[in-house]
Amino acid sequence: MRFPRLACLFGIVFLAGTAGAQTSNSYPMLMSLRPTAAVVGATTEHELSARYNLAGAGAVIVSGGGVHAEVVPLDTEKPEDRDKNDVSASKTRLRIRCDADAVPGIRDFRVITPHGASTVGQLVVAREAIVAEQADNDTIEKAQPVTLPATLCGALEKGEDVDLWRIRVEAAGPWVFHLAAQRLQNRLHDMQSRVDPLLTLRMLSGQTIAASDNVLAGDPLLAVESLEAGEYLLEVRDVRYQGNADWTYSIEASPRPFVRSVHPLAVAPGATVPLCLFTGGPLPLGPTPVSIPADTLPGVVRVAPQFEGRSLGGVGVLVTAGPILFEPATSPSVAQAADGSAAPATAATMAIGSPSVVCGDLDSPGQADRFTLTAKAGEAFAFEVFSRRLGSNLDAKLRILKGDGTPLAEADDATYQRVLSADPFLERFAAPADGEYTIEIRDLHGRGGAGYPYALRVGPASPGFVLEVDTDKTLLAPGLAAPIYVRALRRNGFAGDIDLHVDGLPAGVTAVSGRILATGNDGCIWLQAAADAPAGWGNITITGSAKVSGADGSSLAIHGRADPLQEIYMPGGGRGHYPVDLHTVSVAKPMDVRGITVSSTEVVLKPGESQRLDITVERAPDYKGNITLDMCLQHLETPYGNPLPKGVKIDGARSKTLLTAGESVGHITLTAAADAPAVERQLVPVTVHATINFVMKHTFASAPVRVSVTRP
Amino acid sequence: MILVVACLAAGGMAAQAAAPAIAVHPHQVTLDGGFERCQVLVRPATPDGTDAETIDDLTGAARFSSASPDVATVSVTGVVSAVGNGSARIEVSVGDATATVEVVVSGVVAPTRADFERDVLPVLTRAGCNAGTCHASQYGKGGFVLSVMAFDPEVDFNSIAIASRGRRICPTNPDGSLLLGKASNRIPHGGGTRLAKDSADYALLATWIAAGAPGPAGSSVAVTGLEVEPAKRVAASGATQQIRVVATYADGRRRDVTGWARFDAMDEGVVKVSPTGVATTVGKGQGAVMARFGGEATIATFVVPFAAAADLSGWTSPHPLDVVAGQKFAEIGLTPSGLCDDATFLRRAFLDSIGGLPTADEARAFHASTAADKRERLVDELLGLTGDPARDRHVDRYAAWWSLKWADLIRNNSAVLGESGMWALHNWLRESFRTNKPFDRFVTELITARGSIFASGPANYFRIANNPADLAESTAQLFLGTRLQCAKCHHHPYERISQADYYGFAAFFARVASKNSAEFGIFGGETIVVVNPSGEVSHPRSGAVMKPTPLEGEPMENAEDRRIALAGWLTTPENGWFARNIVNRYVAYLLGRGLVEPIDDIRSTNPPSNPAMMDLLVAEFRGSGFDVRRLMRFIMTSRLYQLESQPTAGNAADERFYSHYRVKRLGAESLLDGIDEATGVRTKHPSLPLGTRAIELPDAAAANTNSFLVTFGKPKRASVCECERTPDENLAQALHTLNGDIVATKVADASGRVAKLVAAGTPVAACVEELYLATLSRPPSPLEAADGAEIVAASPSPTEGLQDLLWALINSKHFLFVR
Repeated sequence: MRFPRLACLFGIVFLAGTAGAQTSNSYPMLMSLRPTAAVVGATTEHELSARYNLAGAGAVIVSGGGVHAEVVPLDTEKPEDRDKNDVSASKTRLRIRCDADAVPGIRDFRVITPHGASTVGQLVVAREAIVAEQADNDTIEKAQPVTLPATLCGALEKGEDVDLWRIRVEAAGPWVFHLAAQRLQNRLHDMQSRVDPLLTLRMLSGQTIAASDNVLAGDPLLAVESLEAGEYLLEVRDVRYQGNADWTYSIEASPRPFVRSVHPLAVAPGATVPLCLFTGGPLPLGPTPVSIPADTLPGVVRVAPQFEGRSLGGVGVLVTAGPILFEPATSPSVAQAADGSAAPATAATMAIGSPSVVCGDLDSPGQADRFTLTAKAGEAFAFEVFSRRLGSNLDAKLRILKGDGTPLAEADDATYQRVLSADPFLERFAAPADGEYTIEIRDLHGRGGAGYPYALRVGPASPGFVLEVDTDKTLLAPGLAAPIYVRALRRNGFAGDIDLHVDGLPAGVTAVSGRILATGNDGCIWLQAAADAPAGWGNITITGSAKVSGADGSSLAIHGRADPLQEIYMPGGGRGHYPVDLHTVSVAKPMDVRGITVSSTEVVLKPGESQRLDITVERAPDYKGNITLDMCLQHLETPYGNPLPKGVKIDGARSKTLLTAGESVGHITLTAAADAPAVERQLVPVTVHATINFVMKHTFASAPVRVSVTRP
Repeated sequence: MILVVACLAAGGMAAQAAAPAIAVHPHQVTLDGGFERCQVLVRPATPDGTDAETIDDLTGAARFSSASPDVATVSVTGVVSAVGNGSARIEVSVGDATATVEVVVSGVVAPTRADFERDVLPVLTRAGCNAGTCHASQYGKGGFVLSVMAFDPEVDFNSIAIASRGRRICPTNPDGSLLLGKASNRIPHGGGTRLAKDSADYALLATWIAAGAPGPAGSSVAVTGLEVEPAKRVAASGATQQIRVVATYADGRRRDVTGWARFDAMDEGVVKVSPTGVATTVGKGQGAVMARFGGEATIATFVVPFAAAADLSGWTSPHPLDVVAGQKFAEIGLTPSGLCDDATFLRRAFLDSIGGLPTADEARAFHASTAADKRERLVDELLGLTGDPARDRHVDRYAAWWSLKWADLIRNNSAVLGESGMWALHNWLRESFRTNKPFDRFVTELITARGSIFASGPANYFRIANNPADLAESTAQLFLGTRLQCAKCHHHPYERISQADYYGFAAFFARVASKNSAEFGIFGGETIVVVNPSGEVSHPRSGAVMKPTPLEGEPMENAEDRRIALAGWLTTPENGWFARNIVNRYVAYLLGRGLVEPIDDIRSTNPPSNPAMMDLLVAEFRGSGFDVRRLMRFIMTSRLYQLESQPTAGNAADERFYSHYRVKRLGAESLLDGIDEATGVRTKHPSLPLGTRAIELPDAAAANTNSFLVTFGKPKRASVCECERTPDENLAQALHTLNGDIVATKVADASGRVAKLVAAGTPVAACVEELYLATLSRPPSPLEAADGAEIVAASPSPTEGLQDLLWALINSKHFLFVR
């Protein structure tokens, strides 16, 4: 027994040392909520689990409207420690109230704690009453009884877990079982293995009646046309029989249809539109009117169609103020010939203009919808399809054809907010000659039928940009500063500077907004909490503005709003991103880094010159963890935010950026390349990263540093 | 230009005037060209002039002479050869009986000319020069390389006439050519003498060389069909039969090619054949002689009855399958074994249909039933065909068992697909068999699958094999029962499948591709199988773009997805391959042996043992809408399926005609499940809940990690071949059950069957009965019951005694085998 004991001791010492290298004050990383669903028109209590520290949690922010949450203090909350907040608590309780008109679906939420805003968690807003998993229900004999309708909430908390629900159906009829689990984990930044649920409806004897696996991404949607009154077993498991304490699920078992998508997919603000519903349930439904408030901003919003006064679930639509056109029921859909070939593009098609949004659906397999656009030589257009991201089954393929059917351009999947989407985006198509062009939409796999709607947005291919913010939360403490990195994706040849701006800062927080230089794609905003800033939070909005030249040579202003991205700890240690709804700035209590001083806030370099910045970090009294110094955001040598002017780099050989074992002094040497272009006073604060884990860092900033490159 | 053409048969066997009559065939011969020959067959004349399969061959006993040797000569074996233009009469005699053959020769010119493809290459093929073991091996022999069976005339011509600075031929002195010197062994030749210097074929090659060795003209007319005469012969052992081979060309001409055909016996235990096509029956049973020429192949069937007559007095079942089986028994002289008893049937039906044993209670209930149709009722229940959910309780096990079978063949494997892909495919299989998806739809869904590999289980088929060649080979073997692999590099040696056929078939998959997706999360690993609008397969030799073409069919296209066209062709009721392949597999699964063996090697040269039975089952399968459960029911309710496995003295030698049930070892998974069921102790499979049966294992991983399953041959899913699951018995298996931990531990488990019986105070006699029912699916006989009680009484404790009995039962052949 001697050797095993020594090995155990070695492991403890090693792990303790590793932990000591990390920050002792991390924001909480939300992992799961039990039950994972709340109910429209009801108030429910839930247990929230997180990594790191939930102690002292106060406010709860929920995306969208109609859902309100608060923290219910735990009876077991421990006294505060030296920092008045460092009690370790991986759980807390939330009370969630959903308004009667809350749109069902999946919502983001975060918790504000003394350590700052948490990462994003997700919850389900369901329509049927919650029934939580009570105990071991892993065998037929132990199946938990429940009378439907209900929203069954549980977790596949361990390997080989099989949850069995003994469901009672009082009256025969159709039933829909909508399970949400895997989709709740997309935005959990520290969930490196994800559930893959399988739902099976069985007779009490165990015989299979029906099963559903991956319908809504990795989640099942089981629609049974007719179920006799009686008792059945509803089984849920990870298809691989894996488990995890945070793999929660909800199964909304309802006789009401579950809406997956609608047609038309685009609506105007202030309009009341009859929507054809594509449901996961067997009930055929006629068009259902949905009203869009007049003040709704353009973009994707979620609406909740009603049936007999009750919600059928939440579904996304594109709100647009521009012209909306509707595909006729018969033309211009072009069905395939028996041999699979499509009719030529010369078949009668509907004319469309630019700008416009065309709504259609592919209601039969092999169908291709075609539209005619008249253009002058050199006239450039952008085409964007909204379908899959709005719940459509369509995996759209977009083609631009000449009148004789010759393909000129095509688009398939596009990346939005760093996530690959099945929706096509053709950024620019310039007409080669005056004439008519055919825009064709079809399913990549030749599918069609109920549930294949789309909206095609057509507009001029104008210079512009899309902004992304990395990351989705900025954590401040009184007297401390932090950076926000913004990246521009330039469109249609836009090559100018972009000035950044921020709104919605919490009390006591000020900002210095930088710019994205024409020679680069990244810029920075510097935030600082005043020394007397109160604890608080705010959801900020970051925008960018720029100027472009109009066709007549005049200067036009263009604007864009930045999308926040939450960083994801990828398996293997990479860094990924997921778009989230909110960017939250919080002012919390002091943490591991208490102050940063830099020897100069003005760096002026001639091409070929270098300048050294001396940096001193004030650590928390007992914080000895590693600290890295930088002037950009990077991970494993991949830059995620680099506002340094083109040609200016950190000279690693002449810098000391790793501060270990309690070190507090380092330096960074900036060098301008011989061909570095001139630039004036680019905002590039020195950043100080306290390591949370291999990927995540807690980032602070020095006073704003301005970097200029002068002409030789 | 075609120099010589046909040797025509002007009609059927014609009776001659003299008596005792003999008949010759053909009795009129036309030879068009100087190298043409024709084999004459001689038989006793039948009263009505018709052929009969049982008529003797007199060719070898006949004497032949030509009245006009300057026009045509005839050999002692009956081969008529053209000499000069004109007419000739061949006299044929057997004893006192005589007949004549009228010969017309035309097209003989001087000097005689030989065509490389039509004349020269068949000589080389017949001589075996271009066999895979000789000059058609990868590097040839002695630097001389030929294409396999002359599938590439350009390569062959280059090797013979151009390569090595043309040293292999000498037009000014053909006899001095290296080619002829080696072939006749005048120059030492590793292959020995292939052509006698005085043979007609030697002369043909010499003539070709003397003419300057003209190369392929590119105008050669392809051979489109081959016929043998007789196509079938029923004879006693020791009989001989000269085989005649006639080729049909694309232009409709027919030509006797007996002299250039290659003959191979397909079952040398039944029939042997000489290089000149003289077959000799040597044993009992049914065998075939394969004849090959010009890329075509066909067979002559030889039936040697086991006995002069079969006793079929008890064979009265009106079941259509039994009718055709009875006809075969009569022809082959086999008397079938008797009907198996209920216990045997119960166990056999369970294991064959759902891959597991009945429980003791199920066995007890079956034996207690007095219903006259209880066997049919059991089959319906096992196959889920009663329509009553309470009785169709085995459907999930049925689905698990057949999912296992097809997952093995399709090669579902997480090592290739990842866990999620493997499970998606597994769940699609389970659902397909649970819902009894018609097999044409099953195959169509599989081979036209596209979309997410997670949301669409069959889309994973295109990740298991991910290039057109592999997909073509897999699809052909799985669903046509045809092995295309040979044709990837050369013409199939035993089949009429060419390289063009191979790549034309592969072209159906040329446009399958994949793209990434993040719908299952940014590290979800989802892949989308797509069909590109372009993408082709080229012929490796000619570089020609191949049109998608089904085997032996015309090119077909589908602008959306070529695979749709393929699926339509594949599953159309008119496609004989598809239904025959599936029928053959299920016959093998249920009766222990396919009508064609190997069961996934269906070709014209590998005929079914009972063609009528194949035709019947194919019609039944088609008629049911490709309903596999109905097909199984059709077979399982026949008397044929319910025969005893114990052979009689008269049918013990039969391994092909189902005269007795073929004993087979339980498969690895069924055996482990059976031991679990018998002992009452379930095996815990890694990462799966306790209670999961071995037949429910979705993955191939256990074929590497579970020593029991490895030992008993669970396939690793590396091949689409049925042969990957080895049915053989070996010493390691015996040691596993006799000495291994698994059986011993389960038998003695404190929560096992024996422990529970003892704990419940069950009387010894009842315990013994329970153990017999749980293992052999029947109660013990009075003697067995007494022996069991005696074993228990003689043991230190009842527990040990019952454990010993259970151990012995598990190790008995009655448990380890399906009988």
